[in-house]
Amino acid sequence: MKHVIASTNQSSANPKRLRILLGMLVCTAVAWGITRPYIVALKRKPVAVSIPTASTLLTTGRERAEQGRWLEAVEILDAALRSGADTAETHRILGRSLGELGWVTDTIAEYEKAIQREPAFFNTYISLATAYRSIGRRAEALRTLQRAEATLRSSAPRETPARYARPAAPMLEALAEAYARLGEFPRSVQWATQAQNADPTRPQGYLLAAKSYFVLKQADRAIPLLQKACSYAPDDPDAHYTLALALRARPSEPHTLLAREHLLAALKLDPQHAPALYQFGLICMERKEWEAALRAFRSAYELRYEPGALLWRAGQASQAQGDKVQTAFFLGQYYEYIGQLDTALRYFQQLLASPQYSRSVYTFLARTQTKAGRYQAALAALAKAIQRDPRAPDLRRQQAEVYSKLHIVTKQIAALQEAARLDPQNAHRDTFLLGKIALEVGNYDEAEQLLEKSIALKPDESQYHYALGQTYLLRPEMGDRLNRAIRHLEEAERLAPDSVTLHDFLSAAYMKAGRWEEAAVALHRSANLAAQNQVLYFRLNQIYRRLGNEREAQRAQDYYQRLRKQEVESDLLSRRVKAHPGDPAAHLAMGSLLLRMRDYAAARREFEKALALSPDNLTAHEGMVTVYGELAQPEGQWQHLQQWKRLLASKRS
Amino acid sequence: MHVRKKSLNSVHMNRKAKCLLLSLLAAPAVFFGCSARQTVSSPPGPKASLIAARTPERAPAQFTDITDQAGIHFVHDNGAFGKKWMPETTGGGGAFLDYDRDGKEDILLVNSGQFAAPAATSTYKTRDTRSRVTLYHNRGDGTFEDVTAKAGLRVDGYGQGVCVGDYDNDGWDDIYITCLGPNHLFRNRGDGTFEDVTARAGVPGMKVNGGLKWKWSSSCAWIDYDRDGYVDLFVCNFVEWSPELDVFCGNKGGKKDYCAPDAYKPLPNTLYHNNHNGTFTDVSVRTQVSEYLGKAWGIAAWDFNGDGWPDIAIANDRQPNTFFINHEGKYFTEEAVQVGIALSESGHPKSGMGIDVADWNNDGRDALFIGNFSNEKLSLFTPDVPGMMTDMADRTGIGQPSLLFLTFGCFFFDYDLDGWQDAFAANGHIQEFVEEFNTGITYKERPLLYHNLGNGTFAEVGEQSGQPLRARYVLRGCAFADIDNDGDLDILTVENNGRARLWRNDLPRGHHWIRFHLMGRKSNRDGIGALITVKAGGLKQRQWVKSGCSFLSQSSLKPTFGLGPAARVEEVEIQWPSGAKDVWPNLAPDTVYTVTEGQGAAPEN
Repeated sequence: MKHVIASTNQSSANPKRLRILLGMLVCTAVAWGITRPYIVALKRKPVAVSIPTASTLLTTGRERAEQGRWLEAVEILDAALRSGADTAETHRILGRSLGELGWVTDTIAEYEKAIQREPAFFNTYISLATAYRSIGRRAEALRTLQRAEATLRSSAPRETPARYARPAAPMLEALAEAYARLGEFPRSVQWATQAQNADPTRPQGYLLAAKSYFVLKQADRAIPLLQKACSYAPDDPDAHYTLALALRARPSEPHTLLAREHLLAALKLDPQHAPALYQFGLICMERKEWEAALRAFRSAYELRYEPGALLWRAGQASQAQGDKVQTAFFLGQYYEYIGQLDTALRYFQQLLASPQYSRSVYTFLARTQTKAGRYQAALAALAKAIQRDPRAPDLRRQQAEVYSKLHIVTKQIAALQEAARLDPQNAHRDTFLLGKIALEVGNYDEAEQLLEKSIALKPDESQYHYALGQTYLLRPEMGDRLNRAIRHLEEAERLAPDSVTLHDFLSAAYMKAGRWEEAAVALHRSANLAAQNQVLYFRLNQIYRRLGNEREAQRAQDYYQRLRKQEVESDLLSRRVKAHPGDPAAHLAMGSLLLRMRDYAAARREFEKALALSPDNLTAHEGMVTVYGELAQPEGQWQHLQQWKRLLASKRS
Repeated sequence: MHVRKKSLNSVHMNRKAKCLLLSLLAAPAVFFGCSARQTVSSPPGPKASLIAARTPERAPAQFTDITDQAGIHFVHDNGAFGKKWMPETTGGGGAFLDYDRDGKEDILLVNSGQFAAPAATSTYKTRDTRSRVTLYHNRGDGTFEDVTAKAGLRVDGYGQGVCVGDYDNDGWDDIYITCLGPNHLFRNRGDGTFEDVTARAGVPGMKVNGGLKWKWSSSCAWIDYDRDGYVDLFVCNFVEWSPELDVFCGNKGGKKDYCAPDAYKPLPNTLYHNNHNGTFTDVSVRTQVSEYLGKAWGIAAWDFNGDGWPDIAIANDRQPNTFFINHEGKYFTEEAVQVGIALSESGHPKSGMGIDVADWNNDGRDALFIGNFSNEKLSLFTPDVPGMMTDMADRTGIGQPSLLFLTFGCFFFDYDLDGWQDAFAANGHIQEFVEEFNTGITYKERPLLYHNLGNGTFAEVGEQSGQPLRARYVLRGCAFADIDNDGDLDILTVENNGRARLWRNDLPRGHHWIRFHLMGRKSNRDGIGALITVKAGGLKQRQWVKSGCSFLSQSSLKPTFGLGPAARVEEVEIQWPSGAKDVWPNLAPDTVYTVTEGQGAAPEN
């Protein structure tokens, strides 16, 4: 008591000290609040918990970011900032983490703060320009690169006034790449050349310049650069592949032969290099080496590279070989792939005469008929296949799929049961599907039994545990189902740690059980995989509020509301586009929103529609420049950039 | 025995003082405010000390369909003519009110009607010449008389819902009818007739699309949001729909079917401020109510945060629910996310329909009951930590039985008068041929009746509670009141494109009750927004006097408290919207009390 009185007196006598003391207390409380969920979640056994300092928080935040645990990094770095670690590094890592979570405007703000604190740190400018570029703010990105240039000029070491020193090469390359990403290929070449001069032994400078020349349709200038890159990086399959592409742009026998050599070199270094396989197949076709071409296409197809193009080329190669059956086999699949189902069926029917395809042709036909919605025809084809091979479980499974489309549950069940009987080794999958059916029709007890059985047959299948967990959660109040659900969902999560849905579901189960800290940890895992998810932030808000962490609750709420606003805007714009398909402004607005949301493929579709309606639309061309850049299609980017510049000039004049 | 209590400000001072004291005693409490009675880890049920001894087992209540014998012949007409227009699936609503103040609950029903020829549908006229509302007078002998024409009630639009409240404080309940198109306000003249004062009062609902079309209003409620002694009017609006905007939504068989609300734009809600002179001012923008777009169906208003001002919860269809926190009658902030009712437990918006609020576990805090689509289960948002609610439908036994049902109307009521609020859900799907595509889900569905077991859980007892609750319907609106003044609560349901039905509660004798008919003086005349607390038989129950709730419907404005076997009411406290408080000890059970603010409580004849 004496001590309390004494310190009170002391404090009142010295208000400054009191303020400092209070400040420390606040920092400690903030730091404690931010790390509490993790600490609590991790401490299964009682451990001594020390209150983290600002530097500890920064270190932890950096580690989390390095591990790709972005949301945790954001929360911890924010606490670090509030605890006094207001450094450029903190803002940089925070900016990066926010960017990974999709909050690009926040990223921009953090990078600007980092630049304010450390203006000479070159990489921040590149990161900032990337952030601007990724949401279509091209002009700001270019201005930021100019700031980067100025920083480089004033701070990078030089050998001569005209030549940067070797250590500057990575920065020069970064600048060259940043300009190339913005479609400014001539400038990219300039900086890539500076990089080559600074350090002629690094292949990157040559590759960057060559790629730009390639886009600028100056393959002659690209080839020697790529040859240099290959000589400095002989083990880089991409260097060989890029050189091969450049050589292929020069249609002559020596160039083709050289290209073939470099493709083979790339494939030797990386046999799974699907684009190289495809290009190699094309060269083989040109040289009428049909079997080699087909082998290359088959290998690339197995790697799931451009299946449509591969099937088409394989069909052409087979046709050139005069193999009608094989042609029908590939072209049937090609037309099935592109959705021309009747043409596909015509090709598949040509296979009927071939004994080689006597059974599989019916499964092809059934599959295509199912896609075309002609379920009875599909069933008829399957019946014929079953007649030929009554013990084939895959035919029963395909049959079950068709019955599922027809909503004939009893026959679907019978087909699956028959498949399980014929193929007891793989009966776990059929049992699982039967469990799902029972679940859909509301037979929960039966669903639980079947799903438990499927797990007994194959305990390491994540989706079986997930389904059973889900089923238990439907009746969490009955018996020990909530705990059982959690156990199965935890097992499912362990088996499939990259499943966003699983983390989400597990967090919901934890929440139901009042295990808030564990729920927060599961949601953080989910955020690391798919951060732009409203549901995630809504639930985090609920959890943090229950844990008394108002600051993080507020952040989660803010994120939730941003995403919600975006969803509403997107919803309204999509209606506008639907209602006014002939209005280029509607497509432009939608495209711009999608660009901000970094959905580049969808944005491209909208900008293309806007351009079809209004070919000289500046905004649409500018949007396309960003979109093509982000989709790594530099030719399209360059083309739209030229058009944009031309239109801008004529508008100004 | 009228006891004038301290002013509201002094109550606030007390709360603050308590906060301070608690914060000194236990620092973590500061984070949670001071109204907490339950910690984070507490179970959802009532505290052990508050649980009264369970009522001994008795025969379950039985409901009997008395529609025909009561002379209710109302048939809802949804106007469907094959085009599968969305509004066809939603009506109609119904209300209990005592329009002639004879102490007997009358019935008002809202119809929809035949659409006019498509070319002329922009104004949503119907080609039906009958009025879209029907008023039944309760004769007091178990029968009702259609007095619509005599009362001068006429609505020509496509009707939806109704709410009842005395907006001019003349002692006679007025009626607001929501429509697809202009809404209608009927002033009760007090002589058994009504006049349509919509234009004069300025409450037709807002025009959309540059004034070309009228919006689709759904539920409504009378709320004295600024506590000025006059009820204001909150009108929920659904989506921007018109025959011209109708879109094709295919079912699994590829044929046109009724769309989900996703196909249409949401509309803002409307709040009308009562100017005390028979007119209203649209304050939706000023109070920030119109900033939040939902697809609103149900509305419930009560003082959630204990600051004395009524807050408003709105059930939205496939949109996050809305929760307007009232800032001293000046403006509202939307805080559904913070409170935890915006989305389901899994974080997804449900298809919110009807809504009601009650202190179902008698712990002094109110929970929200919301009807949802099939496969979504009912929601029971119950306060768990201060300022927050959690959906406890599963934990309380409400969720599972409702999985396959599509609920529209829903409400809390103590049907067996045991002192614990039970729950009712009116169900029916929107897709006529849903059975073809969904196993287990049917178009017609039985209603659900949940018996509150008094231990934090409910048991669904519909199938044991009489033939009307075993049969299947396509129900929408529903309401409750004691039509025969025998104490127990009877049910009114409205079937889409079907009949309105009256189900009499034949509860075995033995449980006592008490009912209140409030008459505000400084507060609004109906006492809407008053909180009544009854202590009896070891329980402390509370109920709000509320307009709106359920779906397109309104129940009696006279709250009924079941007392179980308790033959003595220890204390009744009424906290009026004006801030005044009345307290009475020892009121007689099995009695309807007319309570006049600041004057006294007298048994009604």
